Amino acid sequence: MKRHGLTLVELLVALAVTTIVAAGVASLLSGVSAGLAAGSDTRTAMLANAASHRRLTERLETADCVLDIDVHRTLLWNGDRRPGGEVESSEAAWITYDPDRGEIVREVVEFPEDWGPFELAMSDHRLKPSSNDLNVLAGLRGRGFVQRVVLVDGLSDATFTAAPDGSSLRLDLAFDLQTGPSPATTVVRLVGTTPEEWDQ
Amino acid sequence: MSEQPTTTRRGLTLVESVIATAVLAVAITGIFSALAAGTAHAGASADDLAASMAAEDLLDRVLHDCDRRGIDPLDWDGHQELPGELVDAQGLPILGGASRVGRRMQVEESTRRIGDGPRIEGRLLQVIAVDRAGRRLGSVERWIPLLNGDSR
Repeated sequence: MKRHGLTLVELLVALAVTTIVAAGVASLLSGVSAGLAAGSDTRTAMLANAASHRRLTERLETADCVLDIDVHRTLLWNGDRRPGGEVESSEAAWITYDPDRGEIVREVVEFPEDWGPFELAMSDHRLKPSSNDLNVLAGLRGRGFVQRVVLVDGLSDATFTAAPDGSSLRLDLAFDLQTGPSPATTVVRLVGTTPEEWDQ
Repeated sequence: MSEQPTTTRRGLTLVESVIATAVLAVAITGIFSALAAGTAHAGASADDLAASMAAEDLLDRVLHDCDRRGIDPLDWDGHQELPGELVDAQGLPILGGASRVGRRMQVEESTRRIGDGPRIEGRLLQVIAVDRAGRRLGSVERWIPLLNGDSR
């Protein structure tokens, strides 16, 4: 039996055909993979959006108003829990975006439940528009009176804005997903009562 | 000199080739149909979630607005936002999934009676969420009483 190998031309044609087929298959798989990733991200983004919206609303809508706001930080007042018309640190909530961890964190001051009025008065701090609330928070944190809760994670960015009268807080979030950042907006409507001293 | 034996090697017949191609086509069609169905299903689920969020958000905004400014919810009747054009109370665009859908507000006068008690005047608020094709995705509604002539 006489058997001969492929000629150079046959080999080149075979290589060309194989290359074209391989390119087609790679392109097809790439398209399918991109489509699946996009679909998965759409679903993940919606679930993350819904979950974060619910969590932010539940945790923040009981606040009375926005006292102070920055791009990545806001100070909320939870109402006059210690009567007196003044804003105390135990009535405030600090909402902060941590860019290193991609988290929005809520910090509140909680004193021991068995403390009496005198101990509370000695440890609580009055917050004024002119006071540095971050220093107050740092001091209380150092004494172990600050409770920290992560409200949202998996973010690549977050910015905070508030209505001019402080009655609503808008959070523009960007979730860090496979196909890139996915934006989401949550608007939290607050009770809307601003303490006299801060009502300017 | 002996004659070398010859072997006959035949290729595929036309019928065999057509059958093989048909089997491959059916398999590929099946795979892509499944993928397309999955994507469509994911899109529909995302739309449902978006509709729920967008409707709740507008209802919350209207109730908050009525609470703070004491306006009659009837003033919101007919309010409409198209898909991709959702805004907050300050007119800033709402980003993300909720913007996949549109929403419209319907408010009507409504009277209710609790048991044998007196009739209570109120307003029935309904927010309807629609998709880009205008199809209704869902709605939320709330009845609120009119107290002392105010909206709440």
